[in-house]
Amino acid sequence: MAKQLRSVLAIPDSKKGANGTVFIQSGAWNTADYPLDLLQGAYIHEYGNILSSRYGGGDPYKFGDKAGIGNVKDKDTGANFQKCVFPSSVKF
Amino acid sequence: MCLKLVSILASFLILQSSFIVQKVGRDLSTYDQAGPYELNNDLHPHDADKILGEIRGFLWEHWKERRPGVVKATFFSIEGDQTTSSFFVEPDAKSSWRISVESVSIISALLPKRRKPRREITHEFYDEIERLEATSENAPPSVPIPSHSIRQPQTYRIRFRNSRTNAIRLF
Repeated sequence: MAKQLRSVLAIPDSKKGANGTVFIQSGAWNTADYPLDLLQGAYIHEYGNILSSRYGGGDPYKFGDKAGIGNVKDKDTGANFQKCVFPSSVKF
Repeated sequence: MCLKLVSILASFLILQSSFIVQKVGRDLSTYDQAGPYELNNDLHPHDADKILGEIRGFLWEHWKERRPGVVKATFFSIEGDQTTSSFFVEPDAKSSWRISVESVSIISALLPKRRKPRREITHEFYDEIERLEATSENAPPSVPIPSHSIRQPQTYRIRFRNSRTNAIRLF
């Protein structure tokens, strides 16, 4: 899945484990003063993508914002879910 | 004689075409330039905030003083997809000032394994720019800052608004 990626904070795997798995970058996770809200936001984001993949016909973009969210114009369901559940953690 | 005529004609055509290019395109030599910046997920968030502040400060100063400027930055999604944006502070064809944002996104991270990365290009235009007090609360920033007050760019956000479409972007 992580084919051409080089700077990942978190990534989902909707098929790993009973309910899917969220992977979070160990560098960020293990940095003592890394803001907790960003890690929580990343988890919520990828949890939204897993829900979308599992209940949206395998499409992590199914319930995303078509215009994109944030500076990176993120169109996946996870960005929309994160903005809805924990908006102040949207910093991307 | 004939050769001289052809060379004069050719120089005229070259001059005319370069004039047309300058009228249609941008002469970036007249723009102040900042960046390119890269806000990747390997940066500590405090360092990313510092870079965002530099971009914000550059945009606000150029907007306030009506000075042409361009800043280029690459942003990364949580999954590592990237969007490269150029922010231009400039007058439009009617000499009204605006900030135009040209972005190229590469979407790849969540696509199925065999699908090729998708490239998307967007152009946005904003003609109303204001600073808002930054807030750490869940509510979006809404308290405007007077344009004459001097502030550190980390203490505010910039709201871009297109008065025609009402499109809003917070930076």
